[in-house]
Amino acid sequence: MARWSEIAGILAKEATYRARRGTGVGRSRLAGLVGGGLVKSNLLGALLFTGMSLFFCAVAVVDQRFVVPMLGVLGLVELLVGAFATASTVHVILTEGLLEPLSTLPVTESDVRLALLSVGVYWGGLSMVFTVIPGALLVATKRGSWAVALWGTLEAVTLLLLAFGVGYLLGALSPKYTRSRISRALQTVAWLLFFGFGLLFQLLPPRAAGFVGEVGVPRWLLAIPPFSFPAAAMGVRESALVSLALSVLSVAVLRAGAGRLWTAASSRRFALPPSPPAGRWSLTVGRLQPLKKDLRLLAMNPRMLASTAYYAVIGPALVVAPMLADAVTGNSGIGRFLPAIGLFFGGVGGAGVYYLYALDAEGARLLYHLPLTRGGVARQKALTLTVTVSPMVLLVGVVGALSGGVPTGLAAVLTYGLTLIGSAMLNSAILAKRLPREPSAWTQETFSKGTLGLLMLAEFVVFGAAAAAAAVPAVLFGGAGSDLLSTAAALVESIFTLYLGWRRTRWLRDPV
Amino acid sequence: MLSYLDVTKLYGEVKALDGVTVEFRPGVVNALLGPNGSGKSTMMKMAVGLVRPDSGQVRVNGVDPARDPLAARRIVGYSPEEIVLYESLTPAELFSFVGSIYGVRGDAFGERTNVLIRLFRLEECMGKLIGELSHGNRRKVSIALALLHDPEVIILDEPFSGLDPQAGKILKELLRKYASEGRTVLFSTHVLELAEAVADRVTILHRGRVVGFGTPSDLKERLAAADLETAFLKATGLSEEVRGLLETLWGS
Repeated sequence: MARWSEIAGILAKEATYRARRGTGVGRSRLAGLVGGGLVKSNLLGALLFTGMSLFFCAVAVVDQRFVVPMLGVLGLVELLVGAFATASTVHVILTEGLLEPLSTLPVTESDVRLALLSVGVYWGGLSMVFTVIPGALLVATKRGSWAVALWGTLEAVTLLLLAFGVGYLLGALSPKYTRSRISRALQTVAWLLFFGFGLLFQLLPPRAAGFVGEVGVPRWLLAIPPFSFPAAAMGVRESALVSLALSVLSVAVLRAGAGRLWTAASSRRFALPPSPPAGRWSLTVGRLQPLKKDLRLLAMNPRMLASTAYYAVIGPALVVAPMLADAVTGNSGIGRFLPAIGLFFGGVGGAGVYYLYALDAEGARLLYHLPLTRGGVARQKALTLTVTVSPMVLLVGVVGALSGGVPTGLAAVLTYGLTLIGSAMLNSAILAKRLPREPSAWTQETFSKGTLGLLMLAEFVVFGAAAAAAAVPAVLFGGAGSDLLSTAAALVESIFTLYLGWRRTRWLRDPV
Repeated sequence: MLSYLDVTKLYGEVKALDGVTVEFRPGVVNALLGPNGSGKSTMMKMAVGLVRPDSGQVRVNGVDPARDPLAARRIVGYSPEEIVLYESLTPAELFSFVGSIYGVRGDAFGERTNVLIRLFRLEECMGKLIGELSHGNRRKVSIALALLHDPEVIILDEPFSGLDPQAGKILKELLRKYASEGRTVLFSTHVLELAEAVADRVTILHRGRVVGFGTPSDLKERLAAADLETAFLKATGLSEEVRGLLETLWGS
């Protein structure tokens, strides 16, 4: 095995281990999934993505109109997952200084460079092409159209190169720390745009409902990659041109990303503005310092800031914005249901507290030396989430005030706010209880994805049912009396959630 | 007072501590010595409840850290060997946060932090991010954090590691001053000259057992050694082993 490939395998394995440090996932368990050669590290992913690809493309075998949407959406999945995973791996390698031990070993710079750039492949990135290729081959075989196989393969390879390029750029743009506000703002915007790609999935179904002839999607979408690749296979000339242009562009993005990554990796230190002058320091202490600490950490971490903003503010805002537009024009009767909607938003929004634990990262080890209870930490994180989401709560209040008067707005603020605090405390208590016992870094890998998934699902069900129950009188009977009853029911449920959250954190008296 | 009574700790099949009984009294500077892996850090972590003994008792001013770690952490100022700080905060922000957790309030906090900042020459670091600081400056911040709440018991694991001579000198003075005020002071080090110069009492740990305890001069006398280094090597049984290995290495 060439030296660079050996280094790439070790870097990929170490990066995965560091990202999961403190979660109880041992190196031996990881070794089975990552590292240990090109085939081994990509095998599991290849099987999973092949299954997904065949499952989604089965419908395209039956109905040709689904060829473009399915292969397009699978291409988006490849791009997003590939870029995100590459950015995360590269980020860990840079911030944890994983290349530094190599500087004292007799390895050439070109070996290190090649290893760094191929680390995505050794992490399992190569398996991403199986998101598109098996599905394209299935469609090609069953429908006897080998153009689909050819363009599908080109799509998969192009998107893989693009994912690596974007991943390198994003990963290299995120140094561990920077005092520059401009740099942090730019990084936050970059991450928001990246997460915003997911909105395409929300926009697609209503647009795709109007099929155009044999192709299955509106004509404007055919010129947009990755939908342009399967469209090219169906003989749309503009789509072929756009797809080929993207293939060339992806190589350019990969080159640019690789260059930026190597510059970041070889310099290690980033230009920082001059620090403030020395003098007597006037330091303040008080109950709000932990909140200030969390908000400061959030402001210093563009990726987490973007994640929190996306989950807690931008997501609900997308739902509220049309309501606001209707409320302003006076066409809305939504005010009657806003307390119940606030109850649902608050309940589901509480799960966002998870991001605030990952904020502490390596610094969390310090907390283990301090006289802190897990319940105290849980309440602290719930408070930080409430402060972060408060602009959304106020926006819902404005919608309520405009559509149903000030009392409705106030009721919506109360149900949203109280449920948010209660749900955040409940979530936070569950997570705080699961924090590692030994001093450990807290990262996004600290909690199992299963636990988080179950929590979110349970909240959707429980708070969805609670909101529906509160809305029943307003839906069934109408009139001011029943609206008042709905509001009262939502308020009672909110106060109950708050009480449960408070009780749950009070019970957690174990030290961190 | 920090005391360990017949304390045993197992990590899997490895005995990190094996029936350790020792008292670190207030009013003197105590040094904890021992080869790597001898159990020094485990002992220190027990004092703040980070590690629980499998058997035996640990007491910090009468508090059992295994039963009430929060009370122990309020009494103890602990700086671990591995520096653990928030890299994206400034020392100023971190001092405010930790001060709040300890419930330090008002002018006393401001005065104490400013004294610590000046003592450790941290003025120019206060507005920088901790991630930008050198290893030595991070160590200073870590020690200053441990002393922020004016603790009764001070436990510093390898505090001199990475410190410049100036900061090292200040820390020595600080440890003596805290001891003279009747507080319990315990630090660990691998630099035996340092232990000899600073510590009033030395405890030598080897393979989880206390193999030497007393003043540096007592130890030297008891082990018929010219200096603490020789005494240490004799107490840990490494003296003969080292000589044998050196002879093997040079083929003589």
